[in-house]
Amino acid sequence: MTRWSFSLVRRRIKPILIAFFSLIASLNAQELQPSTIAQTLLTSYCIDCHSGPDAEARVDIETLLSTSVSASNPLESNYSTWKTIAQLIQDGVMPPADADVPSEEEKNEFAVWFATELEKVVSKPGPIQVRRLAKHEYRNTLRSLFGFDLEVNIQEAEQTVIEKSLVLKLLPTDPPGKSGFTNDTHANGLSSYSWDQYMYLSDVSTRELFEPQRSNALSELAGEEVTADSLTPATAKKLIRNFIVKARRRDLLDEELSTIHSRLENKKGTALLSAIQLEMQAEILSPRFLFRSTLHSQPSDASSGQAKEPELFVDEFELAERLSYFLWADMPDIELMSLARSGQLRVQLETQIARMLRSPKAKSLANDFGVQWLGLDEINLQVANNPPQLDALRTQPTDFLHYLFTEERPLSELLSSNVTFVNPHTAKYYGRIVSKQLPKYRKQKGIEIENVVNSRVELSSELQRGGILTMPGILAMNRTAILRGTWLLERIMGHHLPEPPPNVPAIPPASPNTAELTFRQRFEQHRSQETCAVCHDKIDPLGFAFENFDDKGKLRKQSKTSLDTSGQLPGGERFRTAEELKRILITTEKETVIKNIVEKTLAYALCRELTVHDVPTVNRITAEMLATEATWEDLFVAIADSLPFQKYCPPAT
Amino acid sequence: MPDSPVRSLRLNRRSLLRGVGASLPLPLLNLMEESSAAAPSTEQPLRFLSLFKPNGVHPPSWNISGGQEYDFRLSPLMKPFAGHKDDVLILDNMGDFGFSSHANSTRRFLSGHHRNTDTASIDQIIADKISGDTSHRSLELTTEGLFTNQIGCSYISYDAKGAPLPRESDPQLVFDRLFRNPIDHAGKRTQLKSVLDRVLDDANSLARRAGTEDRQKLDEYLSVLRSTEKRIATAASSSPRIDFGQLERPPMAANLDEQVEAMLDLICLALWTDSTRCATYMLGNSNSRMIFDFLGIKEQHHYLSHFFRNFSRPNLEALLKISVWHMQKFDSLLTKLKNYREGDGTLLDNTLVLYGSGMGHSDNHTVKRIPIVLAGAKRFLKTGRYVRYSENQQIGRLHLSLMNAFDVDISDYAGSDSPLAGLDGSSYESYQEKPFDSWVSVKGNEIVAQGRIRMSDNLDEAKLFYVDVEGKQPVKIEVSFKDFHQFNLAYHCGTAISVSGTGESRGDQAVITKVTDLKSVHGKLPGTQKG
Repeated sequence: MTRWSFSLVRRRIKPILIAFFSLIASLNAQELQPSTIAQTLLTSYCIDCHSGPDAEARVDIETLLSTSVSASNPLESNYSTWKTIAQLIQDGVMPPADADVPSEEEKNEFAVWFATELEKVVSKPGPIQVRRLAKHEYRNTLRSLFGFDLEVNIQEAEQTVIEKSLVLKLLPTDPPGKSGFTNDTHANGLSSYSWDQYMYLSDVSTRELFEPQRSNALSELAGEEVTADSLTPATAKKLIRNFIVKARRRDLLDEELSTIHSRLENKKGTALLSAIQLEMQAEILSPRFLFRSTLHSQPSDASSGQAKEPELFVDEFELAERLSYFLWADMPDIELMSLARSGQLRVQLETQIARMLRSPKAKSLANDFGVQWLGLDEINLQVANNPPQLDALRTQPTDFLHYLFTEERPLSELLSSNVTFVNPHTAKYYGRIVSKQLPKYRKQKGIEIENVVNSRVELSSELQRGGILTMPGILAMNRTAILRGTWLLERIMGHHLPEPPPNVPAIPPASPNTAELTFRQRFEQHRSQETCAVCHDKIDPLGFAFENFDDKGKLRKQSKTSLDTSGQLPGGERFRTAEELKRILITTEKETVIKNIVEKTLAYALCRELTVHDVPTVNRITAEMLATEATWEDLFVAIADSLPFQKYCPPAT
Repeated sequence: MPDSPVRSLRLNRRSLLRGVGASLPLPLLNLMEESSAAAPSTEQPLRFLSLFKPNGVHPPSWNISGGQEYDFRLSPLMKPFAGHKDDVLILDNMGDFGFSSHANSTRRFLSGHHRNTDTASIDQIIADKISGDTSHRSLELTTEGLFTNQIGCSYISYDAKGAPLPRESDPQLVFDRLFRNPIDHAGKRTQLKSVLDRVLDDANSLARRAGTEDRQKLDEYLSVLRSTEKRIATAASSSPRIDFGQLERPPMAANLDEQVEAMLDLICLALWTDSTRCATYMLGNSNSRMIFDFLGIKEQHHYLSHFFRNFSRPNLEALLKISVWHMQKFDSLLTKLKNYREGDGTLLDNTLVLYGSGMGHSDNHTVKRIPIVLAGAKRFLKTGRYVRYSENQQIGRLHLSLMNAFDVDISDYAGSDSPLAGLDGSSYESYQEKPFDSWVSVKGNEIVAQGRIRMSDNLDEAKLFYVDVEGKQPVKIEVSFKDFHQFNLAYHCGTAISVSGTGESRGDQAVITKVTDLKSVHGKLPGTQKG
């Protein structure tokens, strides 16, 4: 506890530490009255604009203060708002320059108050929360349940794009939740449009299972050779039992089973077939299947009068689900289920994670978690009109992430690595040393360009093109210095940047009058306005590091000396080139980067926005990761082993 | 079905069975028995159906050589639909562009001009006019995935803002959409109700033991469920329509041919059951990448369609095989439409079919002499004719005429402001060929002839050409690849040439086996015109 909280103080408010200590001294050991400090500052400088029904940015200080006073810790109920406020005040973004601004001393006082309160927060798990499976989770789960993917039945032509998965084609796309990830479906319930699609898919899948071409999947489910025609009542009973256990991701009670079996009693032939199809259809339309955690026992409705625990371990079936949806976005497999059944999963967590990461299903970590975290879908929007090129730029980072995640690579290799993944479309960004490592490739006759799988190649320098920051797809989706700086700050360093003020125009394109000005000088002009400067002082100097890459991600032809790639980090550290920036990010700024990685991964694993009670967990894992040259696998284990992943708070009665 | 509410109940079982190609295991058994009183055809709604052929044509085998309005000989590529010669109206000299990209020519097919990017294509304008209370306003169908390199190649139907309409290509999904909505489906409804009852029980019991926040989510779920039950109840109490429950879902298609046949069946069934009155179907993207392996062809269609730059005998043969298949699908469509009885006529009588491509010459992308064939729509079209206009016509003029046929009140479209005359038999300015003399002279092995050159009617002999001179010995040109290429025989097809060469007489034919000279009578030279 002490270790992380100290590191937190040191990092968060390093620039004002000295002020802090002098302040403590001046208070002369009087008792700090934290909520008074916050109250004074917020009511004197913020409340004018931020109160009532028309509160700016919908932040109502009055409500915030009144709810915080009643809480045991003022930060508890509105942590994300408090966090934003603290950051905006510290960065000088708020109050705006044209308003009354607190003195440095007042700002320091507030920062100290915030850090002190944060230090007092205790680690606590969240409640068990029911949530709907996201679209991609539903697709994977349905496929694992039935043993086949529902596919669109059409003849494919070369160089054309079709969505083969029926589920992905029919279900609407999930918006990201508060956590930033689509598996956070808490705020995104069931619409009647989706429901119609679920009904349709339940019908199609239960019918297809009994078609001749699916006899293997059917036999696998039944545990014996069987076809729709040879189905006997005994086999049907076994089949429905196995199906339901799989669909519910947990064992079912004997009395439930006998009720279901009784409905199949005395039926044969087509009557038996449609009875079992009806059971299956009902099962996969039930919230038990479409939602997660609906069946976890809740002690509040247990009749026993035992004393109420503040936090409990989730049961092993829930743990299996948490693990499999985290690493695979899919239901638990047979091995996880049987470990859960025998109560052995929790003790074998580490070996199971190692096994799961070696499964092809672990590609989900790169394709779902990685893509959403780093916003890689943006590549699709920026590289139009050339699908194979797009595919190459899009699969390079995901293949790279998959390699980091599953081959025990250190966390910091995200930013600096001598391995990358290219195909003939991307090799041209790298030069001969890379292209000669590729296998020979020849197009077939009649094909203009086509998708080609990536090969793993070695780079001569880890820092120059190595790591994710300088992958062509990333540079092409963030075409300008501002976009590159923003992306780096938000996605890699975990800063939260407010929306730009609405009345500020974008950087003007070069005009005859400004032609003599360099790109950088035009940025400087833009930055000279005070309202812009508060953020752009942080953003732009980072983005300039990549000025020697053009808007397509290619190295510019000009000699290196003519390009100014120098800049500085928000903490003030200066660099001259992208390589130096990367070096800083994996050394002096390593903690910032790792902490962000931990936060993002934890939020994805928990499928929810982090709360103030997760802060101790984040800090503890960050410290652990920093203490050793930890790998991504170590991180996944640490998260699966952490309190919010392992435990839950029973609901208040 | 505003005009005749009982019409769709008159399902004729025998006619339905005829509607199904003999080789096809498709749907529809056990529908209702024939009804005695047939309403006259004119009371049936007029439907619009467009079938798009990808990758233009090989003009020497498509174009009609010579020929008059009522006296014409079908070109080799038209032979597959010869059985419907009286049902079709073949238009020639359609399109007035020298050259066009695939994407632009595709847009023009139903939108008049490629720059017409902010209005609907004509199928959508017509659908607005005629859809009435049908359950599906229109169907947009295709066979092939999106060609994202040039997205315009993949769409012919555009909405009122000019945005492409998503297409569907899986016949099973189309069938499900049209005929298997469980809520409108008496048989399915009962099963669905039992499923929902079970699910409702589950959800209720889960909701009882859930915490507050979870209960909210389950309540949301329950309310969606209850509204579905209401929809079922409403559907069950509404007046009975056709029982779609007895239609059989098309099986998985094993190849493109089965897929297309199934889709054509579904289109006809959708029109006949008045589920929709408007459909467009692309047999492929306009630069189709399809590989016709079921015809024994291993190259992409688009590659083969550049028959000049990728010229080889096997490539040309493969291309013509694919083109014949496209024509057979058109034939199959007309046969199916004709097999559905409707009123005192057939479904074809009440359907305006527009078949064609976006471009003419598939190698140089000319947008003149685009293949365009109309069929059906007895009340509007005068079929059994070949109409060759004097000038190259804007496609937009054709579109105006078609929209007017559906009573769409529109007087200019895509830059065209007068409808195309002649479709309904009205007078039009027809193409007048410059007169030329024709003669044949055979002296020993020296053969000289002047007349119109045409390709062999037999597509297996795409290398054979004829010069027909009335009342004279027919001249056949059967030469080596070198001559074929050097004198560009295919280019001159349909026009007057004067040819000299050596050869022999075989039976009543004079056969040139070596060309020494070939001239266009009217001075046409390959490469002088764009396209």
